[in-house]
Amino acid sequence: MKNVLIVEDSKAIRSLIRIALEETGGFFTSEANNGFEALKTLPSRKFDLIITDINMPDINGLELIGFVKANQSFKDIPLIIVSTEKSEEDKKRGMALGAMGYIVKPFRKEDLMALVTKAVAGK
Amino acid sequence: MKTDRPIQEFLAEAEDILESASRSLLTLEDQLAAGQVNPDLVNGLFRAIHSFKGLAGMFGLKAPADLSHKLEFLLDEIRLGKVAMGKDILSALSDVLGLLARLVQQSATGQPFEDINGATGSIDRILAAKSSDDEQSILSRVNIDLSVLQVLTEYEEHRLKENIRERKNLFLVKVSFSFAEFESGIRALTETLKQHSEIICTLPTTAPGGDGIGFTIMIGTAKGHDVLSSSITLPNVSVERVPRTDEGSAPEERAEITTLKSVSNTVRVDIHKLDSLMSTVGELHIIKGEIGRIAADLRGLQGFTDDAVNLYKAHKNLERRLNEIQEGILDVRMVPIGQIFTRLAQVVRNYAREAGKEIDLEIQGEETELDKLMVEDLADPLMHLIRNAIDHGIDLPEVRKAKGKPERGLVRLTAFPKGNHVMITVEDDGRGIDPQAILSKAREKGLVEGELDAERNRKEVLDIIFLPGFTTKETVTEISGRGVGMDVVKRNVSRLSGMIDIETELGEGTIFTLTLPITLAIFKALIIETSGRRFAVPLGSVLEILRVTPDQIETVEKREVMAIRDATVPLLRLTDAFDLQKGEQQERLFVILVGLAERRLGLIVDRLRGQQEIVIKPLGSRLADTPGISGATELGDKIVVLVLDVESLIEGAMRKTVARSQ
Repeated sequence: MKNVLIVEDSKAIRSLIRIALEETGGFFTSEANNGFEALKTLPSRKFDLIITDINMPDINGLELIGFVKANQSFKDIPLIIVSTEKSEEDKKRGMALGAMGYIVKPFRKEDLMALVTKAVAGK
Repeated sequence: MKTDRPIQEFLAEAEDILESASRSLLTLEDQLAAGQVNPDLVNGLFRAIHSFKGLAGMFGLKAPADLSHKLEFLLDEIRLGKVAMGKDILSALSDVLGLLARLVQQSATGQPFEDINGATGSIDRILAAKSSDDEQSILSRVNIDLSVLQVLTEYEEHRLKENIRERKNLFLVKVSFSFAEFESGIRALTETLKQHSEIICTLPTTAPGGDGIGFTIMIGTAKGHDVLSSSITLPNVSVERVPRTDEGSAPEERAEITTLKSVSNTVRVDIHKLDSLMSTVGELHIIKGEIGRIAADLRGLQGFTDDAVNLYKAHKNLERRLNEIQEGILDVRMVPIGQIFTRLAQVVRNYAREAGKEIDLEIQGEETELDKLMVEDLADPLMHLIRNAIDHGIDLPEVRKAKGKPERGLVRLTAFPKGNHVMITVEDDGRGIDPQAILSKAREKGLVEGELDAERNRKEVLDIIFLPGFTTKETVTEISGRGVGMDVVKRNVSRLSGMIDIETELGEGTIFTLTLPITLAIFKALIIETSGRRFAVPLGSVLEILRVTPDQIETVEKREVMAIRDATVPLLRLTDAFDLQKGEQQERLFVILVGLAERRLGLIVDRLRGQQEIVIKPLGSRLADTPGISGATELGDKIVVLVLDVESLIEGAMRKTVARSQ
């Protein structure tokens, strides 16, 4: 089982991502509603992948990526950005910070899973 | 099943997002009017629509996704300062939000989406007129660590630039917490910081020494280091100023500032200040009255001398100007009732969802104007009426279907002016109220005695629901444990000198009609006298004044009545109503025909004393609930008279009619 942390402030979209992962099988998902929750959840288990939104209250996805990449314990966890085409600039910044890939809402389940498979295999 | 739940979640989430967006828009409107727009609010609005778009897209809803995409783009340009916020943009935003809400409803019911081209077109026009703004070099005016700069989103970078441009002081606030308590700690700190500054970004960092978590918060503020450090009570917080590289140069003028100023030609005023102004106007009216009397006396003594004529003219002039001031102040107090209708619309949505019912809300006449204080005081009674309609009037969708009605219930909220009054109706197409059920319940509770017929005394029977202590599950007062009865609604409306009426048809629906004066601040009153005492009657409720001889008054069933044209109108002697000492029998009497809504009552008085503008003052708390009296007013010459509460006098008279017919 691969541990995946989904950071997204929309419950409905979290559900969609979780269902896509569960239907594929082999994933155990944890969910965080915002950046603070993500920070609290991160040390709770050894994560194999973080899927994060960019636009969130309190601390945003870029700040989360910056934190993960600067932290000795977490820096090797691959990150996937879930963004919208409007956040073109922010997506680029996320990639520059070390995210392994991004997917643009609305995305197809297959595209998400292709990226997820690549991310967890790349380790 | 797996796919059903997210769709329900979508609908709930989409509605929540749009609701909070509408609320933000209202606040934004206020802020724009005050000339100070909070960037956080615009950003919040952007984020809300951004989430909405993501949602709609994921659920394959094309029209909502396309429209929200367009709206998001516009909001992004606004929050990045590329489009200046203005009234026209605000109204376009509000239109688009309304359309989005309708699209969500249409997706819930499976109706085809309505056309969005008009809305996207209007956004395009706004975007076409936008100003351009590109200044990368601004960031070089301050010395900020690259590790901070590279995690900023485009928006945060924009806010940073704005702060630099406005020559705000930039500070980095650094703090660290243990993992267990960081969230409450950081929230407390940001709350404190927000009081003095704008938070540009919050960066989590690994705390030095391994355990725990650190944060670097970048803020922009006009305040200095001392103010900030002394306001922070947490230990181990460091506050560092970010040095500028261009110290000393003059602050830059901004083009947007002029656009903000041009729309801020309004002021917000505490309504109590207007009250005290109005009170002064009332006193000026009294002084004006005195001058009028002196002018008349002078004319009587001297005839039409220059002094007498000039004083008379000056008095008339004063009167005109005074009326202008009064109208001006009244006009300022008036607000469209739509202000509370918007809030009520939210209540309907939330409440209908809780109750598992499908409700369409129809609003008419939201532009009708009413005194601001009254509008505020109406919000609660209207909310209770609407909740009642949803709880007890409108059945569940299945039940409605079985009865051959459309599954979606209708609640209609209407306001319209009528003479000196404003009528507000709350209408539903639910099951209606059964007078027979009310009557049986009221008998059970011992609220009525004797012969009352549900059909013959229909009106009186329906009015029973306004009695304190009346509760029937089949009808009205058990409001899902919220504990407010119709008696409270009635009391609140009466306090505003208003009246509430019911029309109901079993199986068809119910209409509650509220009749309210436009303002309570100042009004014309008829001064009457009976048994040597004077009273003031609001002229707005006076329909007619009749001079009668005692033999025109008839007695039917021990009750005095009088035929006025085709109708028989009940009469009330103020002497009896207030237990006054009876004076000598008058040859001629006056009957003041008063009425509210459909009800009529004739007040028998001895004399008329003219009319006057009055400002009503409340009685002390011990006398506040005296039936028939709504307050007191000063007439000049230090004479204080009581102001009659026409609504409760009519009410009392009606009740007596019922009692006697038993």
